[in-house]
Amino acid sequence: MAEPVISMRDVTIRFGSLVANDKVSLDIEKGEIMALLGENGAGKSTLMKILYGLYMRESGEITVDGKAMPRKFSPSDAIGLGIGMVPQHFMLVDSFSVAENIVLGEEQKASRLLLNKEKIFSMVEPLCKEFGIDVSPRQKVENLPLGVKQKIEILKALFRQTKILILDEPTTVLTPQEVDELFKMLRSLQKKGLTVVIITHKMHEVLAVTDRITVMRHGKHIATFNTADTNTQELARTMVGKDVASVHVEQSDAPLGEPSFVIDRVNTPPSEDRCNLKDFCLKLYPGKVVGVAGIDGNGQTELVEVLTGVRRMHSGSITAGGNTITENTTDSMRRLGIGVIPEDRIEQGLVMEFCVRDNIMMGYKGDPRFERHGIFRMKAVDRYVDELVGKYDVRPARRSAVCRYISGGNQQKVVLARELERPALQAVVASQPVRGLDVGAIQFTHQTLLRLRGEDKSILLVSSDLDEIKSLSDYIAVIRDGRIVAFKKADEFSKDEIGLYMSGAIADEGCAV
Amino acid sequence: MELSTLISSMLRLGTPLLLAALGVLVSAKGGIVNMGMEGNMLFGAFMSVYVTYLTGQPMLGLLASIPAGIIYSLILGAFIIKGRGHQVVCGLGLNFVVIGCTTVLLSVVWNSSGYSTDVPRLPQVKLPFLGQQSISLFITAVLVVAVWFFLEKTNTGLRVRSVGENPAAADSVGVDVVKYQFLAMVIAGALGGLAGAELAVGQMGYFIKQMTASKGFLAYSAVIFAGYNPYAVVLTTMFIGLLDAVQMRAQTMLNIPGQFLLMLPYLVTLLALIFVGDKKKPKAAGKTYVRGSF
Repeated sequence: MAEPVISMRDVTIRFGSLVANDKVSLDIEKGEIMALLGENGAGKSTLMKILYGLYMRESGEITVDGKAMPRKFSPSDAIGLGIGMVPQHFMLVDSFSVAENIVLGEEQKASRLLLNKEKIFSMVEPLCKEFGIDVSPRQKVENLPLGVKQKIEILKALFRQTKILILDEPTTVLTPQEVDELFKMLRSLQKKGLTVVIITHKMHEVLAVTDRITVMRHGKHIATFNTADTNTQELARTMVGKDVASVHVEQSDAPLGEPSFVIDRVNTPPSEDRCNLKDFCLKLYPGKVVGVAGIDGNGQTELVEVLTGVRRMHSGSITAGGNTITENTTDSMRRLGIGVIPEDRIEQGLVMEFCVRDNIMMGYKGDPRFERHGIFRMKAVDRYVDELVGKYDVRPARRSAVCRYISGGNQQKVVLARELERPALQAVVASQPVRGLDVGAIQFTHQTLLRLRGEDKSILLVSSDLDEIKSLSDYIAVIRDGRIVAFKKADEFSKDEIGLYMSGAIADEGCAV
Repeated sequence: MELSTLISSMLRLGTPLLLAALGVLVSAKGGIVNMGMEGNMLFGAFMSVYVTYLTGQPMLGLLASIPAGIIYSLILGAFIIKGRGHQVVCGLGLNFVVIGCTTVLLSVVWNSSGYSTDVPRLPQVKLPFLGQQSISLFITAVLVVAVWFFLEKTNTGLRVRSVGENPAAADSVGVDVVKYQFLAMVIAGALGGLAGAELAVGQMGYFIKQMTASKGFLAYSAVIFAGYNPYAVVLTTMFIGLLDAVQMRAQTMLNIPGQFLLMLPYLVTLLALIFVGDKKKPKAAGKTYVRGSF
């Protein structure tokens, strides 16, 4: 066994009453690629942020290159020891050039006081060449694709003579092809003697690129495997703590019937910093799940906002059940029978300070079952809410629980209960419905969507997780630059092919539906 | 010569505005919406008149406005950067503190509720075509170039700008956000102090209660108009100065109530802001940075 370049012993950190890392011990060997695998909230990012000096540990020891680290140190100290971190959300100054971003904080290497742009460019250029990154150092970062931004982040670390590179969820924003490219780059870095740590919750990827895998759960170190000696089942079991049955759609070969829901050539006004919908067409069918795949920021948010009614379309129409709408207000969309699970339940899904009952009753104004002359019929309301709390297994099972203080999974159940139990529900729009949830809640959400599919509702699933789309959808639509560029049966659409459409490597097929 | 006098008074009215706008610009580049510029100017104006009154030397008064402005700006910075107060609320609040303090000090020093006694003014130069100007016009011209050079051509300037655009990114590469924001506030404070001094000992030769008359806010508008570019700020502040000059002339010539004409520069600024908008604003300006949201 090679000597560990980093050794962490019994590291503990608490946020309030939550023990984020509970006596975690971890050795990272020189020159290996290691994965830190775990669910959301397992404490893997926290552990690495302690190592990078962003959080201060409560107890435990850390040694880097045999040197003991004090309890309090800053990211600059960590950088000085050769530790570099590529954060999940990139830390780039959009209005600066590629080179300025890479050099920022170290400009004195180019010249002591004055900003010597030419020298900075000439310092960064060979670095780009060496790692095969096809981007001009003079270009502004602003409009570069996410895959390139990530490489700039890696270059930033390499420019600082990083020996241990930590990547936090590096693949979530990438297409499958970009993931391959990233892994190729990581392997070439390994050959140059770097140590790499990947924080992730995706098992398939870590099997492809790592030497060892460390699994964390609930803030604890559970096990470390040699990648060669393990498999997905074992990893999944270790990650979750029990066997997990994943939810899958049973595809049927029955031909598509009449669409229940038609989005026809919808346009939204262009805006400076967001992608607008351009002649967007899509049809939904009863009892079918249509998954929308795409790189984040290609119009998914706008699509969901249009279907919710919070973003106006300036042309096009939406038809459902014989009604055609050209002016989408939240009211008119709800009358079409759409239930929306928004991508951000905290910002858009719930009023966090309201209790479960009040959150469920939002959007039911004027419903004669619950209201008479503008006054709530509290008994009927309470009875209804209690029923839903039971049906959706919201815990704690109290209608008066304030949403801010219940877990993310239960918050999502409140959203599901409100949106999916509305009378005359025809279609469900689910946007990133399991983001940030634990395995139990993910399963519940997926099962709920499939239950509705069984009840002949039309379901639109928008997700940046290709695995989720693949396993839940009957049909997959790929969105790029505000329009659907491909629409195929899910089992005839390979991940690689989807990736090529997502990145634009295969050209637009127009209104493909 | 009518045009020459108009340009001459445009320069006189525009210069304090330009200095204040440069201050607002530097703090905005560092991520701070400096709504306290009004108080910054007023404090600089008062201190310059007071020191001139004590020493009889207007140049000393001008110099004194620099530390005065810096102290004011550091207090505002402490509230905003260290105390994480709301930038606009803190700035507006501190303006009122200065209005109150200078009014009290006015009666303590000069035993008057509105005016100080006359003090000597800065040396004035008679220029061909441009009329009589205070020497601070030249200082201002140098400072425009200096501010541009600092922001665009120095490492420190790059860091200040990175903090205003994306403090989390700056922090993650070891740029001390607090330090560079305070640096921006120090520069802004010095420029704002000078702006007040230019108004008081450069032109008037006395201190009047609330003599800055919202020029600190006009300076902010000028910066927005200029798209946060130091050279464009020269044009926008001078344009506002020109409007002011025109309205003064019109007061003597037209039979319109003076109050309406006084509104002119403010009104035009307001209208223009509605139509131009604040598009070039540094991305993090106005936002409080808390480490750990990384």
